[in-house]
Amino acid sequence: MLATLCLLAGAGAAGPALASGLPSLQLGFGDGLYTASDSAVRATWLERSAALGARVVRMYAGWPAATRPADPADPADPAYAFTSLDAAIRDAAAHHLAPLLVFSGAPSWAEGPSRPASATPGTWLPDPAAVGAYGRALATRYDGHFPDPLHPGLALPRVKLFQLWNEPNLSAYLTPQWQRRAGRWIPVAADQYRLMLNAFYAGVNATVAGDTVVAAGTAPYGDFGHGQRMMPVVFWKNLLASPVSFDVMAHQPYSIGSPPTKALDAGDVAVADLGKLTSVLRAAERRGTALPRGEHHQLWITETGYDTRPPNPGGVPVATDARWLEQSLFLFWAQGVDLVTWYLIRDQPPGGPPDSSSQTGVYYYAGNPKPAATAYRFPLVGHRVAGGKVRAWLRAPQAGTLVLQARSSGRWATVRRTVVSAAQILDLPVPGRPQELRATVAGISSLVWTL
Amino acid sequence: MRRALVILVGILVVALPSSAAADRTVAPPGFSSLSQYTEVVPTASGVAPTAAPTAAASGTQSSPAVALAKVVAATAPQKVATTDRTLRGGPGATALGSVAVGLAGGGGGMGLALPVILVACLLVALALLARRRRARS
Repeated sequence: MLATLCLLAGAGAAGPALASGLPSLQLGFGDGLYTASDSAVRATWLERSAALGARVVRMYAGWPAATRPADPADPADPAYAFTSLDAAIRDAAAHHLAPLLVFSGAPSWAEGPSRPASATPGTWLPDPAAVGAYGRALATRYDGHFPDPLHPGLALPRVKLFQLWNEPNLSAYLTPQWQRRAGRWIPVAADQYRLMLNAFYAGVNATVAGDTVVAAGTAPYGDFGHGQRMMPVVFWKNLLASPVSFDVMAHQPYSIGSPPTKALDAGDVAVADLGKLTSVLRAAERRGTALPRGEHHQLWITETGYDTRPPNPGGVPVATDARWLEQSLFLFWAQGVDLVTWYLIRDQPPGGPPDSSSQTGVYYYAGNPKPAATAYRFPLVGHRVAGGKVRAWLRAPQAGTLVLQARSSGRWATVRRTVVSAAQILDLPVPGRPQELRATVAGISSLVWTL
Repeated sequence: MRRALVILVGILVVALPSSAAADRTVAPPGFSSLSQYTEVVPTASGVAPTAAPTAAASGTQSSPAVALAKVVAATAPQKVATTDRTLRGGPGATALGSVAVGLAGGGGGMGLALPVILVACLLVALALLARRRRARS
């Protein structure tokens, strides 16, 4: 975990924010574009990600071994096909972006026996030993010393962030979720995931120290009883019921409404409900089941977003999307989140069956930015505190002199001028009863926040 | 007594289908109701959230959550009515709106009306029973 902080600080983000006295908030994106086969596509979106202030890119590593490797812990085993991933990681490193490698889905040889037809291939009882060996192979290949097959004499870049699975509380990714034993339905997915996570943690840390293992990335909503999904609070309580090793708790909330809209069910966790998870995590740390013992596990949001209109007729207007992005970042920060990787920098191609395409990007599919791109780069939120006083929360996009302005009675007036560092978080009092706020720094303007 | 039971059963027959119907599903904006990112909401208030043995998700708020509630209240857009549009994720939905909708049973069922009706029904039945016994004595 210390390595994670150092890594991000090295990227020029964490240090100044910590110096301000307020916790920092690191940003990133998750998108399949980062592992696109077209290197020009990768380069374009890595460059735009960095320009918007991202420091982490969540990349889908997959498990590229169609047949069982003779030695699954050996990244040089010929059964592994790492060529595409190598290229994507080289490009990310070239753009000074830290890859967060995630994989979800086991090759058939690493699944449990007798997968029922109802279970999606890759989801059925992944073999913990195979998961652990693959974790070791990944960490070894990207330990910063592994010879680059394409560039003799050079090493592949270092990767420090590894996430095991995506939304393991959904049967779409991990099965079974429940099993009937002695006439009762028992949640079993978390038990299976704990076996996988302990093996993965040991594998990643087997050869190199300082890597960060990110757990879960739970989906926000579950079903009652024994449905296809497990509520995230239920999943985490079960996972942390016995000792389990990881560095970061990850969650992936998609709100039913605006960011402050809480989930209606006690076991579900939307944007404003993260206290439900952190209370479970901190209790497990005190109890000694969240390992390593004594470590303060961070909380990351590894997916979130809002479908927009256009292009999705059921989405939110793009101006609302931008406001909700800012409000989400503020609420995440207020709840102790350390890193947010927004789901999609660019919309996926529209069309197709329902839910086959996400429109949560800060760029349209055509490549032009939505207002959310500005909101992501320079989030500004006005919020009221006790007595009706107004404060302005913001994350500076660049170092420079910040100018905060407020509009009251139709006139804009500068209310604060201060020197800031890149990525610095500020929460400033605003005098009077402003109706709108805006800010600039280094020639970059925020959106206008209406109170 | 028989008349009271008939009344009670009659009211239950009328009331239960609306409250015990399938759970209602709400989806994030733009997501299909078929999506894996929908929330299933019980339609009557007071329903336990899960049947799982380890699923006793506490309804109590941790101290960070209490602090958050203040933040949420401070940042929520103003002048928002608690409407079905709010629950479905229309612009301007608030935490307060969510709580209000939750207390009302999610907006799709009878909410607090059901227990009120049942209690009233029970009282009527007990009164009729007592009256009948007094008449016999």
